[in-house]
Amino acid sequence: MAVVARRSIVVFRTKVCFVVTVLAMMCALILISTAAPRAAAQGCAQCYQSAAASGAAGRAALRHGILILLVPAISLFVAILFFLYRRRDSAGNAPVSRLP
Amino acid sequence: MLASTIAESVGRSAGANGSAGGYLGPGGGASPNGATPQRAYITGMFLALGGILMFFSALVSAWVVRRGLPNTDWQPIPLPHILWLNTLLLAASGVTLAYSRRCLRTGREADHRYWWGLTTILGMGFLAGQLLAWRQMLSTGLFLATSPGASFFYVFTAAHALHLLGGIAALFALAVRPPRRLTPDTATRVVALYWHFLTALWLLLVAVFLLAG
Repeated sequence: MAVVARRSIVVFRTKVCFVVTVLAMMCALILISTAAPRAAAQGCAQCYQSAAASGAAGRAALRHGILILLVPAISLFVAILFFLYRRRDSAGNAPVSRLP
Repeated sequence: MLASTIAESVGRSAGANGSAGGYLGPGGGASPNGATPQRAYITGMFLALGGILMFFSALVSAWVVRRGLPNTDWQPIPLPHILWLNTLLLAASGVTLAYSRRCLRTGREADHRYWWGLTTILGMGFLAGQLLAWRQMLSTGLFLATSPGASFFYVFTAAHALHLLGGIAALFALAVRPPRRLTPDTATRVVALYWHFLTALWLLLVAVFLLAG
């Protein structure tokens, strides 16, 4: 009975830790995204004028270029998070199944 | 001929390794102490592949922006026909490498050595084909500084060829001398990961050149 209760506590703690981590990351993302409009005003004036003068086609090309850079970076980020979550117990923490 | 030479060198290195089971070792590809696969090397390779992916993403991104800018001197370039043969060679090398690893896992050591050597030869054939493609480009008057499209083509193919050269070096190194810290299974898996990634990357680059070149 006590063993089952202890396992439940460990499982619960693990889940809480994961949820807290995800929530913290989401909060950080929201903070960064809300700060983005202010950051845009600090951009390089020459780059801004160059992009603005390139016309609609040039701006579309820049958007596509940014997306091409963004997709693999986000994919790598998500993949690393996924593997971290899958192997969260591999270093230090004993697996739940090995608990007495 | 070269495949058999490489196969023989693999056999010699297996003999030098001193294990009764040859290159495969007593466990037939498993870890010597019965432990789980050596994940650290696999993880390291994945991280390296992430870096390479970002490098080529940056190149493709620059290519897309440069091509999309209006009123520029961008001109589409005709792809050399030999590029198709090269693509076929690289795809075939991916298949032979996968089969070689399968032979390793099932304990067929001689077959593993043969297909491993064939993979190396196909990789070298791809590199030779890339050189011929460059010669074809040069013969049609498309030099590095002729147009932005030609410049990007040379940069893409050169960067990919340099990475592939590293893969061929790894194939050779494994054929000549087995690694000390990696088990054969881990070593071949790491090399296969790298090789398949470069194959997929090349197919992606060709698709990009074809669809939007």
